[in-house]
Amino acid sequence: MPGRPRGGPCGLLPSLAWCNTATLLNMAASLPRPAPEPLARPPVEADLAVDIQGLFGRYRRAERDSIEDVSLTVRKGALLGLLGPNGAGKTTLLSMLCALMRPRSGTIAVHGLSFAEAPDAYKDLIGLAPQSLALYPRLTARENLETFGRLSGLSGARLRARVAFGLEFAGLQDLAHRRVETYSGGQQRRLNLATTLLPDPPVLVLDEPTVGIDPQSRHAIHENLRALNRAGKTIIYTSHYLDEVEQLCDEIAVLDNGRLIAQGALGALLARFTGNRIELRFDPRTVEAAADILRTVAGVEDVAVQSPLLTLVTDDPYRRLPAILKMLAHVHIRPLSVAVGARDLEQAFLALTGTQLRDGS
Amino acid sequence: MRRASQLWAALVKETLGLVRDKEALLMLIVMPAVFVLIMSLALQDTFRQNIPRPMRVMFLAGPGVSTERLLAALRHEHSLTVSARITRDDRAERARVRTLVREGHAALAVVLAARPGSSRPRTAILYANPALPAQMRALGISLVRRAFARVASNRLASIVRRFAPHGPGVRAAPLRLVVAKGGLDGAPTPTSAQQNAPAWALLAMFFLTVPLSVAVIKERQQGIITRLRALPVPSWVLLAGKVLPYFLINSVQLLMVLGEAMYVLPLLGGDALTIGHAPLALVVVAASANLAAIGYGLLLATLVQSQEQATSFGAVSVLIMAAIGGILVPKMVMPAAMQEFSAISPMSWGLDGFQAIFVRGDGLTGVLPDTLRLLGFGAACLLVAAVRFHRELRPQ
Ligand SMILES: Nc1ncnc2c1ncn2[C@@H]1O[C@H](COP(=O)(O)OP(=O)(O)OP(=O)(O)O)[C@@H](O)[C@H]1O
Ligand SMILES: [Mg+2]
Repeated sequence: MPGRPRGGPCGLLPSLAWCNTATLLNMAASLPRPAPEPLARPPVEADLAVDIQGLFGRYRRAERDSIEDVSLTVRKGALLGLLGPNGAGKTTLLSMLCALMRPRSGTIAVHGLSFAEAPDAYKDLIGLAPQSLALYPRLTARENLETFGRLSGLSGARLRARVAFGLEFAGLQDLAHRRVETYSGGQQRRLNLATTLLPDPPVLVLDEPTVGIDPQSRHAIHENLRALNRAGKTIIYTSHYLDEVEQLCDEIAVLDNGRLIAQGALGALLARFTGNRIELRFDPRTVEAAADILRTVAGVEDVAVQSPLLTLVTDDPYRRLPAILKMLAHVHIRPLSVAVGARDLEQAFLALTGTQLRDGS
Repeated sequence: MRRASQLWAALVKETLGLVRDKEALLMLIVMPAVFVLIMSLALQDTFRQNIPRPMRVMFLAGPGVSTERLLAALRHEHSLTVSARITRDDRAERARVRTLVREGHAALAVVLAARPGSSRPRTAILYANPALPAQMRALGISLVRRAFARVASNRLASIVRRFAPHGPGVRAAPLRLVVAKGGLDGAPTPTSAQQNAPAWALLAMFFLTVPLSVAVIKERQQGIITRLRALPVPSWVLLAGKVLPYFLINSVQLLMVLGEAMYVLPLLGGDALTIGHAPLALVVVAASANLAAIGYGLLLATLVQSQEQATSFGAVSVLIMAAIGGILVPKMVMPAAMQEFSAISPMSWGLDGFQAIFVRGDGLTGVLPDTLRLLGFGAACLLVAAVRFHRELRPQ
């Protein structure tokens, strides 16, 4: 999607649009290679909402760790997108953060406080929206909000005010008196999220809060989350909708196989993949032949085929591109299009984690 | 303050969840109400014993004229089936006969003390099975009395014929019948309503195991437990929130069933339930049975892994407890060994407690042993459930 307008802190995207081969060749010669932003430096301790150090976590009776040596810091007021393929360990990491699961080793501090020091105070700091819907289906939206509000420690006028806020947040004022089991999936999701916001904790942990939600609701939820973030809330957000994360989050952490494989500003992450990738589209009948030839080009480190697409990892794509195109011309294979750099977060994500299916690993 | 508010929330959500669970209400309230009416009416006559079957009577005596006459008179009664044992040495036999009657192999036993040579009236002792329903027992005794009276009147007739010098009546000593008291004396037995009302009320109480454990499983499956675990709320608050609504609904159910058996049953031609004169003891037994049922339900809820397990294992275990405990089949129709075995079922303790008040007219002290058993069982179950629930909620 060329020239997609972007808002908020993630507006700069140093990637190139699709264009034809000739233009690209000209550009390749003239364009300077964009300098990658330095990854965000770890902030000082007082600014940290979450400080995870050397974390290992394993489920009971499991043979391997689901979280392996993860160190992750989230500054106060950050809107962090936590990414990773299915089974990467996102929910596990968040479970340990929310004191649902005991780490095998390592430390977690939220606002400088560990769970062991003050369990109730620690839990007061965090609001968790679980990945699975966590609502009482036989209760109405209002009753659910009241129940979880009271269980979170709210009462009296403050509870009433927060319940009203929650209903508005979920856009369910008119359905407040209907049982949750009669709601649509999206309505339930919105209420699930609103329930988490009720006690107004400084750190929000949202595990795939927008699954199954229509674009309108999603947009509204994002607006609300941005407003909360501007008001100072730290938000940790996991989602498989990478475009949504790209629009919403200013920081990204990527988990794969229980390990943290990248963390930093969104822009920096994207920039890292602008530099070394070339994507070519071929006639499907020629893509394999092209791959065989391109493997032999100097400076090409990796060739991945996803017919009709072929992705090259090179040490310096702008320098190698002429040789690559010349080589293809030599055997009379013409690419239909050529792109340099990561188009979007999805490509960066796939580059980081590979394209292999992860379930059942 | 915070805990009170949390407890209130836990109570309200469980209560609303339960009140809106139509199947649970059907099982916990409608089922016992219907069963009490049907079963009380259906079993009315069995408990009244209007149409007596032949009753087995054992007859033990030494040989002699009186023995023969008495035996003939007893055999004359069509409602009695007599098995006689005529022996000179009746010491060992006596104990055996008493055991047979106590264990229910015979309803009655007539033991004629061998006292040869004495001219004083010979005493026959009548033993009755303790589990025999009161009406049946009275009927049995009156039939035996009639046989004795027949022998006596025959004797009178022969005295009138005193000129027949070798008539047997002259030599036979007069007979006296004593109905044995004490160990073998039967306790009063319950009426149909006194059996059925507490029995079905107890069964329904214990049946809360099913909706209760299904509710807990659903909380676990729907991920609600994840949210609960992330909140600063201790496990005891959530557990207490589960105890109270079920306690209330069980109490309502019991009141309804007792009221129904007292006031509705007679309108339908049944015998009204009489509940004795110890309301406090009744409250104590009801509350302890209630707690025992909830304890068992919560224990099961923390043990089972799926809704299927909760419904099948919950229902089956409760039905087995009920069958053993004299709920499905009244204890008085069970053989003695089975009656003793039934004491392992908590429902039997509850039933015994209620019947002690209804039938024997016992007060607090009379129901103390059963109450303590129920409370002990309930407390043990609750304790294990609380530990398991706490373990489930804390960081894993
Ligand atoms: N209760 C459990 N017992 C044992 N292993 C588990 C359990 N839950 C998750 N795992 C394993 O831990 C690993 C991480 O799972 P986790 O749920 O954290 O992944 P995820 O990143 O949240 O995935 P998804 O995107 O599918 O939600 C997986 O290999 C999974 O199989
Ligand atoms: Mg997950």
